[in-house]
Amino acid sequence: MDFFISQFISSLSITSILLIVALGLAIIYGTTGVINMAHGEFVMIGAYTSWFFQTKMGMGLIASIIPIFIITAAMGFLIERLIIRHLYNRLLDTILATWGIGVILQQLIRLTVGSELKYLEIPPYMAESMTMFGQQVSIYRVFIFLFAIAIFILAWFLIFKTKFGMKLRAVTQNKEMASCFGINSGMVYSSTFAFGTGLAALAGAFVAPLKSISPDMGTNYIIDAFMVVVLGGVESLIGTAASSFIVGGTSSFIASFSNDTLAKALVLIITILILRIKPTGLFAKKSRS
Amino acid sequence: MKINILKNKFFLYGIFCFVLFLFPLLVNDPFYLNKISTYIVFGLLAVSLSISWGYTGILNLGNAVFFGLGSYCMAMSLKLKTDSIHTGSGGLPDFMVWNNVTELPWFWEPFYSLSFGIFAGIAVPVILAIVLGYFIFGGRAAGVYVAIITLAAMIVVYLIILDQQAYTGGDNGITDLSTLKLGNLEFDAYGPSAYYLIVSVMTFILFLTLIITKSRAGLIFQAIRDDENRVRFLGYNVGVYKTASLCISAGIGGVAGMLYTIVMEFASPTFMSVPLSLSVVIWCAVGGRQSVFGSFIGALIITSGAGFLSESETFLHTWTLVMGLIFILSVLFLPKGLAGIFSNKKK
Amino acid sequence: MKNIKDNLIQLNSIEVSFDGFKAVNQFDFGVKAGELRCLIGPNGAGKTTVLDIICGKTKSSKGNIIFNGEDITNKEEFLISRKGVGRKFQIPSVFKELTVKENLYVALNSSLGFFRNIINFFNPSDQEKIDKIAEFVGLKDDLEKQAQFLSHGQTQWLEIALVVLKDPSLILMDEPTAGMTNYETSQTVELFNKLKETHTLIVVEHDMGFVKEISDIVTVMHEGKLLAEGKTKEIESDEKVKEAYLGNKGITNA
Repeated sequence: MDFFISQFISSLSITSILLIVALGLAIIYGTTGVINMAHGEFVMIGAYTSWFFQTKMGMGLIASIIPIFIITAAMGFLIERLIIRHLYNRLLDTILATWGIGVILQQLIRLTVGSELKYLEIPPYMAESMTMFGQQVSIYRVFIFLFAIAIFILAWFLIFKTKFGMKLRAVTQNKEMASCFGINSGMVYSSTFAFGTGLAALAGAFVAPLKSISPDMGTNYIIDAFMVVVLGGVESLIGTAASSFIVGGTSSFIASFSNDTLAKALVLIITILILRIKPTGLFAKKSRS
Repeated sequence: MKINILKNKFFLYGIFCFVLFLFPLLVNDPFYLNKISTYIVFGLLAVSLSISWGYTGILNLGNAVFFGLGSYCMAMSLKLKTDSIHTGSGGLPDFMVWNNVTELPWFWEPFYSLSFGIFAGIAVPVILAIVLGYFIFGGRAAGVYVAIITLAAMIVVYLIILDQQAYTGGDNGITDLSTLKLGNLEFDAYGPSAYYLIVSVMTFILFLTLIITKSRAGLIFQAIRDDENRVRFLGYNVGVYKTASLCISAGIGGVAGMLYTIVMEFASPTFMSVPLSLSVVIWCAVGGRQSVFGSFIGALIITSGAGFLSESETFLHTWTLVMGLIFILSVLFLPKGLAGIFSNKKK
Repeated sequence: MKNIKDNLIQLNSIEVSFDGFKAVNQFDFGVKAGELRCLIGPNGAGKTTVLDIICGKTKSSKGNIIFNGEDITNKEEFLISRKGVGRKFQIPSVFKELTVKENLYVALNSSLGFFRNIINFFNPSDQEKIDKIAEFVGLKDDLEKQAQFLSHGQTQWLEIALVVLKDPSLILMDEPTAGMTNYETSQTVELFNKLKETHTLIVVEHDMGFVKEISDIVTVMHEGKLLAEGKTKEIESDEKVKEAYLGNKGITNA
């Protein structure tokens, strides 16, 4: 029993990171239909920005959360306006364009900051362990979990309880009709993309102390996040959350018996099998088209 | 008889292959020939993606996996032919000995036969294509999902090879290979024989794809790309056709991989990595994915460009950056790539 | 009570739900061989869904479909197509990047298997058949044109040509005159009257003038159910139909 509890708790932080990344991806894909292959690179940018703030400007993690979000969201906004908005009539090409953007971001980091691994420390006030359910747990990991829940609630609130969220949902259902009602669909799309990439950056900032920071760290997250989105469908936020926990949990569980590689392979195989049976994901609704 | 070279592919290919055959008469430097061989191999890799993506609309982001598997199959056969200096006790490849492996794994055994190795270099990728096809196309996955799942499939194979280093050489790959020998012919990587082998295979594949694309099946591939539901309602089993397209792509990729091992003299996990897969997509996008020859030339131009300009790391990073930019620009403004400029469809 | 056994196609108690909403509800529907049946009704009545079920695009949750004596309920689209059912869609779906000639070549009624087709190349007898069908739909002069450059009406006819080429015994048409000019519509009437002789057609339409010119029997749907069925004149004067759909001024004013 102890084993399962410790397994569960240690998997929670990784799953939380996955949730934040997948949430951003799902919101972008669900609203605009854009497949953001550069999403992983935004996670990476978040990590590097955090590293920059902490090592070069002496800012703490908590203090830098908002600047990191704003800077990355601004980047996302710009990219959407300059490049992505030209591709809404050929959505599959957004995979290509965003992949290209990801490459450019990676290379820019390599050429400016360098390719060597960078390391960040866990904020000292969270570096210790606490006891939970009879297990020793890192406070930082608990913090990540709580923060992920907070982000999820914030996103849910934004989408379902605010005026912006209503516009977002209208535009998701029917972009042209929403425009006819005076909603600036273009602005909604840009803001959504910005929000999604901002979330990715936050995930990067949080995961940075747990592993090393490298220009290609993003690739891992894009695959995992897409598995989550593919499994959960983009119809509901709950679906994305549930899917994150399923994917993250299964992955950790398998990894505890063997290793990460096998875990990843099995999760992929299981996803393909599930898709074979339910092509629109586990939580999608049946509709006319 | 007036023959418009660009419009008649048969003649275009013929002249192109002929020129390439004559190349060693102009250029003697074995190092140079070796480099050209690698560019041609990349051209074939682009051809492989062109069939599945350009013609059938299957965005296979994990396309390098076929290339990688082919290269490993050839490497395994060539490794088992090395002299006892390189292999450890009992005829085991050196890296196995270093990893304390005592017996040759069962899946290595058949590769003692070079014929099997060559057969496997095509069969293994094709089998993977069939399995992927069954699950992805049988499940009617949408374009997005196909792209992601194929990418993930490649990453999984890549990770497994890295992980099982005792049996696969891991990060270092399989090195110190013997030279390929077919009958009395020896194909030294830095000699004209290897170059001729590659150009011969290239010729065969180019004409094979010409036949495929001109056939009714080739037209059905394109119809599937344009409107797969309409194809379904005309009675065709679209899943089978898509899988077939992926298999053709896999076969060509596998062959290209085998040739690559011959010229590079090693096999490495980087042959089935995300950067390579992405590069192939860029070659096809820039050259024109709907054209086999366009994709081939796209690959040739980009890889030779990088190769001739510089090999320094900073340059390569900058080159990749520029490639990313060119890629985005071509996606935005030239969806049919350079070949689109030469397109002969009437309005 | 119609003799159900005579019908080429018979739907029994078909039900289709989308996330709780019943698009088609306890629907019985039968068409005899050689008939041209029009399926009309207000938007959202379930007409397109009925066509979708017959050709296999949507699955029904209840009921069954008998075609030519065979149960084709919920079978895969390409299998149903091979049994002799052709479908023309509301939004014209043709192969945009291929030429008209290539479009027709894809649809030519020969082998469908992959291995046969990989060694199958264009030959003169194919050209003959293509010329014939192109003439039939008025596209003889546009064979080398890329399909995306055809006018809307021409695209509709190309799709009709694709469907007819496979010589299906049952053809399903979804709003074939949508977006057509009066001239194009009258040409389509001619086309349908020619097809009527040798095929069975089910046509979903809103253009009542068109319906009057081509159909013998009309089926009216409303809210997923059968509202009325009978000869065009009877339907025109049916009170229920007037209330739900046609209004008081008769068929030509709907």
